[in-house]
Amino acid sequence: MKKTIWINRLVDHLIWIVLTLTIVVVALTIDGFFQFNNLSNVLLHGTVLGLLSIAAAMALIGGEMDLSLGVNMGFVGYLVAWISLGKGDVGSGWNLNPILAGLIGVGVGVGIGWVNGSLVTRLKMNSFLVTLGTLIVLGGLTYVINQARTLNGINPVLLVLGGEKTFGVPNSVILTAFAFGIAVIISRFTSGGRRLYAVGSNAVAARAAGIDPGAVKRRMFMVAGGVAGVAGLLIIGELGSAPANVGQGVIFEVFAATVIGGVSLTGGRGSYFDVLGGVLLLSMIANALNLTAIDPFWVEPIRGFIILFAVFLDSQRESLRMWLLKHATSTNQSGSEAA
Amino acid sequence: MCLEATGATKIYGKTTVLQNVSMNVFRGEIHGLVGRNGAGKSTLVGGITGLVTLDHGQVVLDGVKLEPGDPEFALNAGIALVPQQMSSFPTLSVGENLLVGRLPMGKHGLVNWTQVWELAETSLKLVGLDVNPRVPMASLGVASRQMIAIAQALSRSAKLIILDEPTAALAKPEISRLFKLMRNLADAGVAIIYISHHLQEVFSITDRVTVLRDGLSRGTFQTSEISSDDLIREMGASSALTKRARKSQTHHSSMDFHKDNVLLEVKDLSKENAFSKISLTIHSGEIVGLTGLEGCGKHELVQTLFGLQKASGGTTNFGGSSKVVQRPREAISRGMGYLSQDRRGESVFEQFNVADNLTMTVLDRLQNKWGFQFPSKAEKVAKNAISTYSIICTGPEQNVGTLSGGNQQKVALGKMLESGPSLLLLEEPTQGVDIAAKASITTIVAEACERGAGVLLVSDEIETLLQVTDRVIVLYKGEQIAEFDTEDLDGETLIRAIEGIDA
Repeated sequence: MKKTIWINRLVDHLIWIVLTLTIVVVALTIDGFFQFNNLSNVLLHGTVLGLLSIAAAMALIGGEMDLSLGVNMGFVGYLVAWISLGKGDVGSGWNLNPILAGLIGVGVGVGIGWVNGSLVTRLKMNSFLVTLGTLIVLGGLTYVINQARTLNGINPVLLVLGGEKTFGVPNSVILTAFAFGIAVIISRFTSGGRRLYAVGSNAVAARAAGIDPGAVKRRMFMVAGGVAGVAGLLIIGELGSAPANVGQGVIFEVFAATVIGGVSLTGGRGSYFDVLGGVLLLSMIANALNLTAIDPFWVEPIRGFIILFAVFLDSQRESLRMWLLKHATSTNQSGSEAA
Repeated sequence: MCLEATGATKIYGKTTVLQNVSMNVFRGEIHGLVGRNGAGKSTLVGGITGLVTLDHGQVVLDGVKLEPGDPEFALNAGIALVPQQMSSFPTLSVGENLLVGRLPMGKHGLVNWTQVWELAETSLKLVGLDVNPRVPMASLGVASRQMIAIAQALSRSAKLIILDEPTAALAKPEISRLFKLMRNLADAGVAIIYISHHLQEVFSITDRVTVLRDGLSRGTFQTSEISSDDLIREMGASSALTKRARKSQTHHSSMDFHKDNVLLEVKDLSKENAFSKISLTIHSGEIVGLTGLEGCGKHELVQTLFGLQKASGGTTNFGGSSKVVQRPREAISRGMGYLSQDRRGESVFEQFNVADNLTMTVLDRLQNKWGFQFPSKAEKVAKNAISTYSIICTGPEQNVGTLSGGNQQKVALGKMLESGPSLLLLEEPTQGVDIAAKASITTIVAEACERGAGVLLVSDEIETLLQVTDRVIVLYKGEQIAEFDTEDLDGETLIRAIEGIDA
């Protein structure tokens, strides 16, 4: 019985084994990977990707999808920069207090989640299509705010989260690590977190157990939207400016990291700890490809192939589990029911 | 007295599915609830658990009157239902499945997993299940999941546990384990309602038994004082079961004509956990009935014949080949047609119109030599089919989703027959259709037989089987336990065979 549990754990957290192997390969083949500055770069790439992956995993665990997270982040970042800019700049001229502006921004992120969640749960609309719609709407609205101009001269207070360091570690890395810690705790140890898994696993059975799936999902969309909003504050700090197209297209990498991290697309299964593994893997691959002298046009296709390979590994997860369990039980004859 | 349901009545539209039914269950009693399909068992149970809002009548548990139509109230009052179709959280651990919605919390408002595993282990021990509560639910077999559902009911300290067909998916040793558990629970003061089609089991485990028929209660009997004959009579010796003369005389003569022409020969066909060593023969022009209780393997047998499921052993001889059909495409090209019991899911394309549905199987025939297909030709074929199969619709353009159930079924039949199959596998073709549609479906099938087709008719409807078939084969828990010539068969004998009571 112990052995089967151990095998189940191993297969569940497969990503960390893949990640370790990749680190070994990359470290042996690419010079300069293991320098502090470069590792810091890897982690920096993983901040925005990490926050958005937490949000995306949340939606998937609840049995829904949120494609709008990337543009939600971009919209919030642009909006916050714009409302806090004064006259003479390309901003709104409102000169809003940067902290207030940041809070408004996160609020807007939550609001976007509320709209998504309400459409999905109250009007029974499909979450893939709803969030595809909000993705397009928000992407367009970001351009509408100020004719798609990039906003420069952002208030320095707004750059603290994304652009500055504490004891040599970027604030955004600290914040993201913190977010993963909170996500793990909430998902494993709070009743709200467990309810999300129950709803995603079987909404009908959840209702029979006295859980309101609609309410749980609405809350989930709002939290996910809020997390994307926080990512919006990070990205403008990391870039030092607010381009109008920021956040467009990132959702693909977000979904890749989430799925590689073992989150089930059918709901009810996934761990934020493993999502972190997926995020680190993709960040490292992106970084390694930058370090090599590969023709830059080849970087994207190669990245795509690597993602496909990682998803393939994920798809073989259950066969691997069966295979390992079979071998384990045939050697010790425990014949446990879990096999 | 634990449970007292009085005057329970439920009306859907024009049909009364439950009429003034009363039932009481004592503490420490195992109370059987029996009746044929559609007798009103599920509705009565729904009324008790609050999943169905009764139109009249009330349910009292230990002196507390239950809120009608409030499942949570019933749950909290101490009524637990273990449904036939287990609903659980496959991706979550066994422990969490047991405690979902009420996980124990520690000091800081965080889930106390140590306590979860401990509580789960206690519950599992109560039902005698040796399973690690940390493993995912999906890794367990049906029997264990059934036990876990009971454990869940117990951990909610239920006063009344309702088991709906709990043995349908269980093997013999598991059933005796379940029965032992039920008896222990009853001895501890829990009241149990036990719903089953398996009368043998009802006789071996229940103290009293309530019989429903056509939405009416036939009364509650002491199990030890009623004979199985009497019980069967109470369940359904209605006029529907008296043998009637066969409808079509011409059908008979044509059958004799084709008598020697064997269409399908099945020998020792087996499929693990579904059915074993089935042998049957279908002649041209013959209608063979196949029946049995839910889970007896009839559905799997038909699907295996059509190549939708894989056989684990045995041979079939059909369409000039002795190879077992591997996939539906092959079945169709060798001349089989299959009408699924899941009409909406598997038989018709609801978004398509009548013409598109009817011509689905003959698209190749509709195109000209350059591979183009003209709608006019399809329309002609469709119009023809509409009159042949007397489909009541506004025309070939009407969407099939908007047709009545009976006419959808005629479209499904027509679609299948258009390709000219020689062997028809029909699952519950008259299920849920009105009398007029039933008659014309029967006629369509009879006419196909006259043209030389053979039919395997899977049905639960005793009346239909007696009226239209030539022979009836009965399965019981995967075994072929009887084959009757319909000519000298009466309803009671057939029901006895279906229920697994040896004649």
